[in-house]
Amino acid sequence: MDFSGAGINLKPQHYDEAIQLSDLENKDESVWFEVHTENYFVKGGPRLSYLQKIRERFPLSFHGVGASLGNPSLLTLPHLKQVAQLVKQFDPFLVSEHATWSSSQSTYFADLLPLPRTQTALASLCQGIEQYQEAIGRPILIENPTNYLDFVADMDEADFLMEALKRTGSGLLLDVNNLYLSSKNTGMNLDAYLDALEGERIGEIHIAGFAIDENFPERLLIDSHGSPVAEDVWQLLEQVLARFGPKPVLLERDDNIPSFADLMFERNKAQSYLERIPSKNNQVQLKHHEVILD
Amino acid sequence: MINHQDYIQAFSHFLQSGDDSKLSQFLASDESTSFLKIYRNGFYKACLSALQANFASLTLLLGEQKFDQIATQYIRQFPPRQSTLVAYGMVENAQAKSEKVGGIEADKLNQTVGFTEFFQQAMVHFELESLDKTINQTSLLDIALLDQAWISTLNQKNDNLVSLEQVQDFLAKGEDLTQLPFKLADSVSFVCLEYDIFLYWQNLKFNGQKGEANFSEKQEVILFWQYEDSVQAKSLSSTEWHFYRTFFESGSMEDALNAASQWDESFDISALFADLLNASLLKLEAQT
Repeated sequence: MDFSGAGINLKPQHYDEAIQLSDLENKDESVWFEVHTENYFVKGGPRLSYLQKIRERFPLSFHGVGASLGNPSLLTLPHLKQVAQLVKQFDPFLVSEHATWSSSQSTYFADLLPLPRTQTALASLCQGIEQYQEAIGRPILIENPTNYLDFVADMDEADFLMEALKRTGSGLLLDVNNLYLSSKNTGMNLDAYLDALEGERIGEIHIAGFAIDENFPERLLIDSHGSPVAEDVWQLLEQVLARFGPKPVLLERDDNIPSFADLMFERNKAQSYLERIPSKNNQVQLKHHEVILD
Repeated sequence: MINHQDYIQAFSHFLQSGDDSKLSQFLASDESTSFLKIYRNGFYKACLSALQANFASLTLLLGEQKFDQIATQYIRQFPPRQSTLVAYGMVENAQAKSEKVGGIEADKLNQTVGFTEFFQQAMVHFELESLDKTINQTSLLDIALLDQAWISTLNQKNDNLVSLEQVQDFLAKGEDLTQLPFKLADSVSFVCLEYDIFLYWQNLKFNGQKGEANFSEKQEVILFWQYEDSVQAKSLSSTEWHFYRTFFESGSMEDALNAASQWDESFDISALFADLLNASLLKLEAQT
């Protein structure tokens, strides 16, 4: 089934309103929800109960933030065990993670930390992706990071990511906000970046708001997820959709959370962008598991 | 050729210490190390947010600034050892503690301590003068323990609960209820307080109000459990505490009922049993 609706990353304060959406007479079939996988690393209780109710009503996607794909550590195996359990229980239509690292030995640094784009880092990232895919029994999507400064590099980011996807059979989660911020923060060339991507590997797109860094206002934009999507990012989304065709688009909001109605209003704007784009039958093809909705 | 582990170690060292001297060799030639602090700030901010959320009443009572001072010390000494912050600051299995780290009991496997335990040790070094005089280190610890119990209970599994219909079924079949493998529900936990601070905590937790600190030094035991996906808590009488403690420790309802009856001869067993059922406090252990 071809699916390219617009979704929202779901926060606990919006569980009830999200569930109520499914009771509407003219339920919008294009709505879907994404959650941070690690927020459901709990034994039981209302979080899991609500997630079950959401899953019964809407397409659900898992977006991981703690797997440390770029540096598998002592925390990796217990982490993957929990992810696998959740994937088995909820059968999300997409599972994604980041091309970053966050753990070393037995310490979790709770942030999406940058990888140098070197051959050794690429090998480490591929090892992390393969371990993850092996644990959950299906391919995942890998998100491009936000860059705040440049590290040593043997290759451009788009080439680095494409190589990782090819080696591991994974797909790309293209975060256009991250892409925009990286271009502003480090001078990354957007056209060259998009030219280097293989559209059929893009399985999901993220949009979000950003903030201007207090200490370096002229130089740094921060991936804050704390404000509405900026006009420049909407334009980039339009450009990306026109180039690669419709994909599932996810509105991220993790800070200064507005009302559910406000989020839906912004999400509906993304949906209208999707509906303006003619379908190119560009559904991502993953190695082991097609993106299929029941 | 850049060694990936050298890079990871240099970055880890920077995140933990703030020393970026080993990391500069990995930056592109024209980059300034000053931007690196975005990542260190991100790490601390995420951990602080998690601790503030998990100890929300304590944060409100202490004020964010003072809480963050103590929490920052905790993050430095005991950074997260799990790749999620959902339970950061909690050490669930107190029996796993067996080693000393800086004078504090540490979990043998992951070399960490719970935030409440750290807080107990650390708060003597922090000024508490701006707080109400009734609020002292012991009552603050009570608040921290209540916060912790609430979150832990919220995220507990709570399967195999016994329903009234099941019990009626057992009675109809002539079963002796005291011989059935009843246990306390998995979500049940107890908090022993030094102050009768439970109502004050509830006002902090659910109304966000500090109010007047009208509590006194008086031991109180609070029962926490999950009921229909929400957290319940109640203050236990001495007799109830005798029952629950014996039941929790021995796993035998018969022993627990005997202990409660010995403590208080007028103890109404049937009323307590009805309460246990109505509140979903019992589970039935699978028989092999």
